[in-house]
Amino acid sequence: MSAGRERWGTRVGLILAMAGNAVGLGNFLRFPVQAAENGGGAFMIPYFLSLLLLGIPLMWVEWSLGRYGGVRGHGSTPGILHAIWNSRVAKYVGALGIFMPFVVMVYYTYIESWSLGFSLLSLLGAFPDEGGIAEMSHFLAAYQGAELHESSMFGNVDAGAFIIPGLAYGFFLFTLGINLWFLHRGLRGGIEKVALWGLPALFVFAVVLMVRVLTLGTPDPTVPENSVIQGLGFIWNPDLSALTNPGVWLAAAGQIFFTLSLGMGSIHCYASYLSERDDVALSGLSTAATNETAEVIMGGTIAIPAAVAFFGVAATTQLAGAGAFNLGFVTLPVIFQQLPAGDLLGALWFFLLFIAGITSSLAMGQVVVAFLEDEFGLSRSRAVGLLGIVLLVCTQPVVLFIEYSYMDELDFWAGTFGLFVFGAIELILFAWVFGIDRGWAEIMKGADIRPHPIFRFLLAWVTPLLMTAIFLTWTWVNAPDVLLMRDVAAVDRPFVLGARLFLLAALAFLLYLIRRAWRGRPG
Amino acid sequence: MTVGGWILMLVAWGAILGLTSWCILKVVRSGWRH
Repeated sequence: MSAGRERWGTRVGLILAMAGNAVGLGNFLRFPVQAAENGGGAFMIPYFLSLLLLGIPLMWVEWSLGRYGGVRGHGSTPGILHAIWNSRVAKYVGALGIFMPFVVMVYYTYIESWSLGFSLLSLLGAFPDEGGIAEMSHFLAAYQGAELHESSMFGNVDAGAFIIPGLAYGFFLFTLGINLWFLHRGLRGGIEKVALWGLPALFVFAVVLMVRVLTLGTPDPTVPENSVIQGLGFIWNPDLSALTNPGVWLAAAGQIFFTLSLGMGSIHCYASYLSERDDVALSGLSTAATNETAEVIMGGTIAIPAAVAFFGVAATTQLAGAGAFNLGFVTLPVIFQQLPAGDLLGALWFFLLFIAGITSSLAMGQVVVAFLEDEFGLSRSRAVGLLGIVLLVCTQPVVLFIEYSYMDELDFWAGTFGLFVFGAIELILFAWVFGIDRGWAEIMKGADIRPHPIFRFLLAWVTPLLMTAIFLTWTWVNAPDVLLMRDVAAVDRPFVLGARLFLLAALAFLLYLIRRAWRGRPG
Repeated sequence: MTVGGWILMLVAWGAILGLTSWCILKVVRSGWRH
């Protein structure tokens, strides 16, 4: 089975594709907000510790699991876990590694299309010139179809209880189409090409925006405390008392987990297209380092410092508190509108987010394609076609119920909770079921660097215990409120329940597919 | 921005840029095309 599997064209293409998978909206929006809210510079101490103890070891685990499975003809986690764990349930546990990328892709592609849409709208000078944050919030809501707008530009259709967002829907169809087209072009001809062009472009755009923000100085000389240096201080000034707060440590570990796309299933899938003697140690470390450059250096220097320079620390705290998403889609466009060539800067910003998005969504889509190809013997064209039809159907409620927390619910279970669950499970399987001796040998096989043996000890004991502790604490803190819908408005509850039904149905269907795929096979 | 903030920022940037450059060098030396 493995003889016919595709291979990456170049190692640099693979590393950039993996980095593209990891670099997403979170690098530029979630990280600076997390840092500012959790002790500023002091946040970086647990952040870097988490990178060392959790991020890099788990990155090596997922790379080596992927290569191990790929050599045996499996690019998705049901087959990979079945290969390392001789149990009838292994393949069903692995369902999570397809379930999460699929569900996340259902809403992520839509958000990705907003970045593309806003990039073009900014370039065309379509953003409101006046009215500041309030007017831009209305503009975003109208684009999403969360409210009607006097402008006919959006092409929204009032469908009674819901609004069908015309322009946003057009951009969504286009974005889904190009995702499917690149997936159809295959590993070398599609995904690797996007990474080889997209990642360097993303870094160039980010450097341009960084330089622009760092040269903002004090935009309003009458308010000298609102400056870009104060903005950097907002992120980096250490509040050491924050280190005694367990929540800060949890936030740092969570950020490392999300930013490296761990516990998702997509790293395994990309690594499955390696040969048995290909290095995973250096390539995995390079992926993590590239992601950290995009996050700490670039992500930390654009959104928050610019917001502080224009609106001050107090207002930025409020804006950041309204969500990282608002910071990117509302606050930054308003800032760029006030700068020379602001439309171009806005277009660059949103196109940067679009590249970050598409390189991640391709990784998610490839997981499903690999599952259909490897386990059902489907051709790539048929696998991509099926994925496209199912995504198109499943995204409809996301588009229509955007104002009713439907998407937030999907994001919580598949994009947050599920990652912790699967990350903890795969680590325990790797260290204690597959065995740390075999696991460590797998990481060292073909390695171009020799990871220090301390990582072997970390993988056997510290990382699994840390991962389990984080998962349990995080669940304890967050799950009851979410399960009981304590923070959900009454009007949103039917939609939240609908999202849960969809999640259950998707998981049940996936388990059924796995059962069918393994019919007649041992185990 | 405080002195502590500057120190933390520069140390973090230095560590990340150092690690990334080291990785790039290693990848180039061990063959970036294969």
